[in-house]
Amino acid sequence: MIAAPTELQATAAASPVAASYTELVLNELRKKRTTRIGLWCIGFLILLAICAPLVSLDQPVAWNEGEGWSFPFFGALFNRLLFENAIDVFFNLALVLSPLYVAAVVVARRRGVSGTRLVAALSLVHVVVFTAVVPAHLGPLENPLHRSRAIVEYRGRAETLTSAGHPPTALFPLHRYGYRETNPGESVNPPSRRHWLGTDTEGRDVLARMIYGTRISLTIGVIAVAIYVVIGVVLGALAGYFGGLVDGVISRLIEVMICFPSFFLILTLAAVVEERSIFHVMVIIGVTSWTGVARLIRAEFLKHKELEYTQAAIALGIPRRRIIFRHILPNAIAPVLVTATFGIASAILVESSLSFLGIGDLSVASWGETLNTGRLEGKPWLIFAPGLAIFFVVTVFNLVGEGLRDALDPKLRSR
Amino acid sequence: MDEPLLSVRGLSVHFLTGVGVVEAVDGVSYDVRRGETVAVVGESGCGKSVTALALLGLVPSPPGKVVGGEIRLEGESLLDATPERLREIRGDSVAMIFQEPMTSLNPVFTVGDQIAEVLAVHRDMPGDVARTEVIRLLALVGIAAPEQRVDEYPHQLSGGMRQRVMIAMALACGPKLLIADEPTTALDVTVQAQVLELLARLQRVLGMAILLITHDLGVVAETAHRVVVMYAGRVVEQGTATDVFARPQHPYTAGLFRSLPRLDTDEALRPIEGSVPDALRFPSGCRFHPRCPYAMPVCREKTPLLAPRGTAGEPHLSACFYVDEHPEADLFPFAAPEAT
Repeated sequence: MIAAPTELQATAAASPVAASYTELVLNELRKKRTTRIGLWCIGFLILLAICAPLVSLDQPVAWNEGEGWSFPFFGALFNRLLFENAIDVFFNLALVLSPLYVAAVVVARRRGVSGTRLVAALSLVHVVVFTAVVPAHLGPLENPLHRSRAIVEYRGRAETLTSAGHPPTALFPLHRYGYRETNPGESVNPPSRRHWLGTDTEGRDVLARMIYGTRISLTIGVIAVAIYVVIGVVLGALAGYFGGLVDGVISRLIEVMICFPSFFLILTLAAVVEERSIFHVMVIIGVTSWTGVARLIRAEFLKHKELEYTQAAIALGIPRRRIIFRHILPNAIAPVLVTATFGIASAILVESSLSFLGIGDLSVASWGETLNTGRLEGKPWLIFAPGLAIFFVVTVFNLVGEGLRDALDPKLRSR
Repeated sequence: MDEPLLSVRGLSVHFLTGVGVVEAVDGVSYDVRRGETVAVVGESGCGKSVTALALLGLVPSPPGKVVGGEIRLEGESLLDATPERLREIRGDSVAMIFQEPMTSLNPVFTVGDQIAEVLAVHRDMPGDVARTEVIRLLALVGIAAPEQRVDEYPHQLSGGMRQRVMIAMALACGPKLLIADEPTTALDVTVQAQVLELLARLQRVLGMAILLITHDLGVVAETAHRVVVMYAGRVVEQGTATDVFARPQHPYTAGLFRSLPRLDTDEALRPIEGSVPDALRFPSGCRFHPRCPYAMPVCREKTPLLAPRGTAGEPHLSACFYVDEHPEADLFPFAAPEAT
């Protein structure tokens, strides 16, 4: 007991790992088996969304019919006639740049950059690159990636050449159909060797539509939830922190919004919006669903603004905006993460419902739309495939949401 | 001498509650000079913390409201300062440390980030420079292995260490005045002594003034140069620590000493009779009169004013009609009531 008191304290408090809160939660998340499965499934879905063209497309990666090699696949990724939608361009770009990203991750991990920061940085880079690729013109120059070239029917040609006796050397994706290829002659065909999950009314391959549908569902879920989390967090934070009149106005606004049955509000808005792209659907879901988040954040702020660390920050002269968004928000955000995860699942469901009711975006490969066709045609393969896909994705996100809820609950934490 | 660092004059703070007006602070005046420690002593609810919060414009409003008085820091009126100016002063020339070290640090940031933020806000200090400075500050407040501690989170530190970190945050910008609101109440006794020692050492090194708010007379005796005793929102006595401890000039102060255990006598402890009055219905006249063994009829009707006691040296003031009439009376043994 002769040791200096400070040293005693030092040894007493020294824990083996200096873990940040994020790391603690992530560790906790990995402990539960169902959550781990859910996380793997989400990883698989993201991978599938990015690699969809490698899995299913009618353009070969490499092609040689005796006159030298060509690689039509890469041009096809940015061909407007094959991939018109911005969501597809976004994921195709990710596919093309993925070797670079993987290299960046490997290098950064070796230098000890934290995983969460890395993901954030790479996402930002990708969004920036994406916005540069989408427009038709980059300043005065024509965007080389914004192209609309005539599509060569490689699949048909391969078949003709094979039957003629000299087959081409070609490396096709696993499944040789794109999701927008229509074929009136093969309308509503049951599953066969060529179309593993059959075709829909326009003769489009259902398997390809299911695969590309993951892109739509993931994007819908993430962006719609991001929109309403931002709206909810800002309004809730202001209401909770300032109280008084600000709180009064925002709380009344929340109550008015809650009074509307949300799905019917979404239906009405969707019916009113003339040109319904998939982004309109995201915005519509976003602006109608923020009330829950706003109320959660408001309650958390009411609690945290009274706590000593907030008072201490005020007494140290930290500006108010910093206190709200840098000091209190990270402490208040945990419950929102849980609702957001569940929210992704429900946003996917809402989009499917809209497409099912025929007021979604018809230009994208939406699971709900295929489901609707199946209902109209009464064909089981058009109902089971999208139904199971929706069920799978929603379940997976709910599993992770539940795991996250438990991981963030200190009472359930086993340490 | 030159003007005091901090001068509080006639400060009154009211809380407008649903059931009435609480006069939490009523006409409080005191000075803090450069480099000295002034202790504000009193029971809970006597308005000592509110006084300190009012200095930095931190009284929760509503329901609180500064209804009168004047606070000057180096001549600058703080009650007239804009919110932005007040924010600049907080953490820079006046810093504050709180009672609860366990919860006064933000759990999601490392200790280093929190100290560096203060430097970034007030001094525009870039990250790498700030890191060196943070490590220096952690070493200054006596934290072992500051290079490692700087990257740790508050939950990895003990209470005493957290209070040291709080002190490092408060000292980051070299304040002229440090307000310490019950800095040791939540700590173990051994750690309390260390923290007080640390504050005293830092004061010698950095030359800042400390306004120490406490209910612990032991803490006062150890550290304070001057003492301000408050009761029910008013100052009842103030003077140098030596004078007040040697010869208290107000029955309340005397009562406080009487209720402390002492090693040099075998006398039983004698608590002050009664309890702290309801803040909504303070007694008329001298607010201590219902509990005062020396109470006279006049105490019920008129409010005593602070009057100088003794003769030599530093002023020693107290507000008591009994002492006005019996300047030589020794209040310490609590002579039999109505002995006149």
